[in-house]
Amino acid sequence: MRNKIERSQRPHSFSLNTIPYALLIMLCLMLANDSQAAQAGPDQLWLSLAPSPQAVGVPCEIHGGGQPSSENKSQAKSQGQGQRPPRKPSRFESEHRPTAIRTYYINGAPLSKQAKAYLLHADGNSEEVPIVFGSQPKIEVNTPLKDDGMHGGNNIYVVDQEVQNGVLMVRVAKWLTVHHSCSWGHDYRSDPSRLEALTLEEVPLDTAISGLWNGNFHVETHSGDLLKATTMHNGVPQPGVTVTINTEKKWSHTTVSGPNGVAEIQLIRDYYPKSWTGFKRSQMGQFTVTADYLVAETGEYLDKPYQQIRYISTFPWKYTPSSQDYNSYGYGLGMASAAMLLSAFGVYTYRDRRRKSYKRIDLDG
Amino acid sequence: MDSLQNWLNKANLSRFRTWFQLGAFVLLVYGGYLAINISDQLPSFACVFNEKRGGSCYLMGFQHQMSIPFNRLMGGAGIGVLVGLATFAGLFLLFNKAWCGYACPLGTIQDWLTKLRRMTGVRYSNYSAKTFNSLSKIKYILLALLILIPMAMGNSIFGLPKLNHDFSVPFCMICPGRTLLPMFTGDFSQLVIDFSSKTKMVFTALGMAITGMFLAASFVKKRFFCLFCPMSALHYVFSKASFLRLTKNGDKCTRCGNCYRACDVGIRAIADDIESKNIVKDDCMMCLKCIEVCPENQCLKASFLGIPIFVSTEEGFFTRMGDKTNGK
Repeated sequence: MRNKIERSQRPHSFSLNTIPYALLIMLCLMLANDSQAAQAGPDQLWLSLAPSPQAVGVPCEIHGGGQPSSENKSQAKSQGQGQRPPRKPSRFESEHRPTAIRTYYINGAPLSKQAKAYLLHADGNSEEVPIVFGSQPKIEVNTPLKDDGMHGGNNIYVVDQEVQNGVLMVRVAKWLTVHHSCSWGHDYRSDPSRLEALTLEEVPLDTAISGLWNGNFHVETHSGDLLKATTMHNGVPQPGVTVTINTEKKWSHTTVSGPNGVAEIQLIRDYYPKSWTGFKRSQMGQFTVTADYLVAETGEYLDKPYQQIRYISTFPWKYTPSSQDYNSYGYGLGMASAAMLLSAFGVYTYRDRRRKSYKRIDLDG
Repeated sequence: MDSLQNWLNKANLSRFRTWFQLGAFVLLVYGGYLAINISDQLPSFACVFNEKRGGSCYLMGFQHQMSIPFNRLMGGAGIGVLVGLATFAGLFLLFNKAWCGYACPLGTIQDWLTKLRRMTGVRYSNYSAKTFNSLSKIKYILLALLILIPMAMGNSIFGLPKLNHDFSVPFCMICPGRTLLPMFTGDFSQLVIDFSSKTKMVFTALGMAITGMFLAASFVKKRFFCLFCPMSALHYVFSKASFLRLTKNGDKCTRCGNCYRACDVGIRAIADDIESKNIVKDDCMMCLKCIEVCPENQCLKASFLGIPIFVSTEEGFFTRMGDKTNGK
């Protein structure tokens, strides 16, 4: 939340003797403003979407991602003994339990009433989704079970803009939900359009990353993977966009998209459990891809003039440990070879023992 | 119609079967390249771990469904299970256990290994009657385990703690189809041992061991794995209702034993049983080799909805034997 600074409009008295004091006060106020801006800068710049009312990237005391909201805490307090505790908020959606209605909370900078939300279906159709404004803005998206049009990767966007200090801040928050249940079949695994990252022309700045899920619609992003993020400006690849990736463990890497709008980032390996028994191949980490693009353009928005447009978009996603961390071809092929050789040896030995050896019969005694 | 029937009865079904198996193998292993998906409830091993498959083996989805908690299984989710089972049964009822003998890619691989053995001149092996009877029970144990283990993941059985998700799809983890079939599309990622947990390590190690044993044993024993296949056990539940039938007229049987000698799986009951009409046993793969080698008229018959398709005839037997002794 932005901290409002109430400036004194009228000093109590004005005389020559008070000018130095006034200057001193003004200097202090200016410094205070700068420090406030520095502290509130990241909070004010971006928007993000999450399945729970939490800030992205804040570690959860329960699951390792996101603090429980005050709403949930008060719920927990109000519940008496013997009742089931409220469900802990989660950073991730279940891959195997699709739901018919999904709720996403909008975190980050305060939302203006002009903000819009869009839903881009897996089949390329899109629709505008109403935003529920309030202390914690959110959107509710209908994702009917077994809906062919939504079977696959669906993008949810929230777009907002406001003029701040002569700069038109255009903020985009993106969420990707892979709507799938194995019981619906895997008919689309051969359809390339369901496997590629889609984008929407109405979205001023989007980051489309290919290869995030496989043909069986399971998330296929692992540490060590080379992510190819295409920065799209109103549906067109845009070069020169600053792309930053931040992980939960505070690792950060910044690059700039190339001439074809593609920025390549290799995901770091940052999962090191203390012991082998503590290793979980399904351990999910979250990273956020932030795209930042500044354009010199003048204009007016809601009667406020601006000289530049700054586009900022956020896109959180998840990753699991690389299979190379726990899979061994050497041991696997060794085991198969050993079993094959032992089986062959066993069959050979069995046959050899059953073979009757030649016995010479001596009739002459 | 009689001439057509006569022509069919003299046909070299084994040659037809070889080509049919090749076509089915290409379809089920590579069908995904042409966006073909016959069904996700196939009564045949079309491994789901092969991304370019042309259909999916029913057992993978079945194991997933068995892990649904009981309260959901008795509710709406149970309808999905029943629909899946009905689709599987419907597909199976069309061709009975001929899915094993003509379509199964893992069965085809075993037949190719058998052909390789013949080329090398190595003699094949067979089980004794006692060993055969003992080993044929293993598939029912595996079928029970592939139902119970996923159930124990989703439910607390007898108050015991639920199994963790590493026990997911337990049969697929040990099936040689998972390791071998993706290799045909250049995917060798299943040839590993997964050390992420003890459970995964044990399952994948067992899977690789069974793969090695499968390759060696299928070389010397025809259709080695079919005796242990839980899909075969599941087939047998619906076998008697199928449209495709293999029947025997015991009165015409002279107990020559050709049918048993020709049987790849080694089912003695084909020769010994002269009482039963429906001669399809749980291990049978309906390759119909028994009909090919039966020298007695109308003794063994394959029919579809009562219409004879392939019938044993003396003329057919000698025609086929004559073909073979002419150097083919």
